[in-house]
Amino acid sequence: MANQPWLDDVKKRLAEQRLPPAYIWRFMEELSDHLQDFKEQNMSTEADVYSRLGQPEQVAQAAVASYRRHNFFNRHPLAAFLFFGLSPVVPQVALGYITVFFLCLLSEILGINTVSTNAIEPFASAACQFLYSLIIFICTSLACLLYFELAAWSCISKKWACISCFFPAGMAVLWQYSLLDEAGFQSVTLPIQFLAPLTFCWWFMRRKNEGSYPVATFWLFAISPVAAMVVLCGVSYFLLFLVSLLFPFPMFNNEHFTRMALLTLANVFNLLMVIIPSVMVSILYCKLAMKYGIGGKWILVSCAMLAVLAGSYCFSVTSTDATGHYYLHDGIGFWSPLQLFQFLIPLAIGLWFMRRKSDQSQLQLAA
Amino acid sequence: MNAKRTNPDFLNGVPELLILSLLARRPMYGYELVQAIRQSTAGTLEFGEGCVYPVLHRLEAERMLSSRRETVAGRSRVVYRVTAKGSKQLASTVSTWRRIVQAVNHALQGGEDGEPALA
Repeated sequence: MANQPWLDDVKKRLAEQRLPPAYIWRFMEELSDHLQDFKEQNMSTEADVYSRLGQPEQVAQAAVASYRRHNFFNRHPLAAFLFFGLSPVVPQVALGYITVFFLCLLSEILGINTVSTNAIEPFASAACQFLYSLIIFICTSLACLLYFELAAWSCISKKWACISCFFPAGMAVLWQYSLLDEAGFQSVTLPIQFLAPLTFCWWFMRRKNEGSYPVATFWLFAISPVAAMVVLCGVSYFLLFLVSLLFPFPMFNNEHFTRMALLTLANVFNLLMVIIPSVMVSILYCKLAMKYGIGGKWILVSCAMLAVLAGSYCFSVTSTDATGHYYLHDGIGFWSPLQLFQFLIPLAIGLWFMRRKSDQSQLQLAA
Repeated sequence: MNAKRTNPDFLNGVPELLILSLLARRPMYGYELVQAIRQSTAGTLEFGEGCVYPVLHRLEAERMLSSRRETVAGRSRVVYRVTAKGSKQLASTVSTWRRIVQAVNHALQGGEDGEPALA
C-alpha cells in the first residue's frame, strides 16, 4: 500500500504506548481506509499525507489520550484499587490450592506414602519445606505477573500495576510464616517471599510492552478451566441436592436391587457432576481459543487440565440402616474404567477442535 | 511547513460537538466526516485528519455513536451514526454552547457593568 511509512510509523508509536493490539488493529484499518480515500481524491505527495493526516506522533498521542480517558479503571479509581490492590490475593491462594491438589493426586497415583524411616526423615522434611516455599513463590509470582499483564493490556497508569504486588507479597510472607517452624529457614525465605514480587514489579516497569501476554494466557487456559469446572460442579451438586429433597431415593427390600440402584445412582452422579461439566467447560475453552486465534497448544493445555480433574474425581453411594437414607461419597482416585472414560472425554474434545482449527487454516490458505 | 495554531483551550469539546451535529444529519464514514467539517465551517476549523478517529472511538465507547462496516460507493468502510444517547447529549451541548456564546458576545459588546467595547 502507498504511504506505508506513515502507517507503519503510527502503528509503531501506538504499540510503544502499550495500547491493546485489538484497538491498534481497528485503528490502523480505519486509517488505511482513510488514506486510500485521500489518495483517490487528491494528487498528493508524501508530504501532503503528513500535513493533512497529521504527524504520526500527534495521531498516536491523540489515540492514547482518548483511549486512556475512556478506560474503565481510569474513570473509576476505586474499582481500580479494589481490582489491582486487593484481588491479586484471590488467584494467588487459588493457585496454591490447585497446586496442592494436583500434588496430592500425583502422590496418590505414584503411591507415595508418609515416610517413616529415621534415615531419610530429615531429608524428606527439608524437601517438603523447600517444596512448600517453592509453591508459595511460584503462586505469588504468577499472580503478580498476571496483574502486571492485565495493567499493560488495559493501558492504565503504572501505579496500579505496582500496587498489585504489595498485597500478594504480604500474603506470601504470612503463608510462609504459618507453614514452617524453623527460624533459620524462615530468616532466608521470608525476605525472599516479600521481595520477589517487588522485584518482578521493578522488572516489569522497565520492560517494553511487546503486545503478547504469556502469563495471562497461561492463567486463562491452564488455571481458569480448573476453577470453572469446580464452580460448575458445585452448582450441579447444589441442584442435585435440591432435587434429592423433593424426590427422596426409595430403598428396596431386595438387597440385590438396592445394590444395583446405588451403583446406578453413583454413575448418574458421575455423569451429571463430572462428565457434563467437563464437556461444557472443554467446549467453552476450545471455542474461546479458536475465536481469539490462540495457538492449538493452549487448547490441549486446557483440555489436559480438565481431563486430569475429571478423571480423578469419582462418586460412590452407601446405604445406612435407616430406611430411605444413603450417603454420597466423593473423592479423588484414578484409573477405574469410568474415571478413565472421564479422563479421555476432554482430551477427545480438545483434539477434535484442534483438527477443526487445522482444517479451517488449510481452507483459508487454499482460498 | 507553516506553523498552525492548534487546539486553543477555548475549543475543548468543539470537535465532539461538531462530530455529533454532523452525524445527526446523516451517517458518515471518517473521511467523509472530515470533509464535512471543513465544508460546514468554511475551512475555519480543520482536523489533523488522523486525529478524528480517536474522538469517534471515544464517543462510541461512551455509547453516543455506533459504527458498522458497510459498503459505500463500492468500497467497504466503517460508517458512524448517532445513537439516542448521542442525540440527547447533542441537544444538551448545543443549548449550553448557545448560552455561552450569547453570554460571551454580550460581555464583548459591553455588558451592564462592563466597559464599552473597544472601537
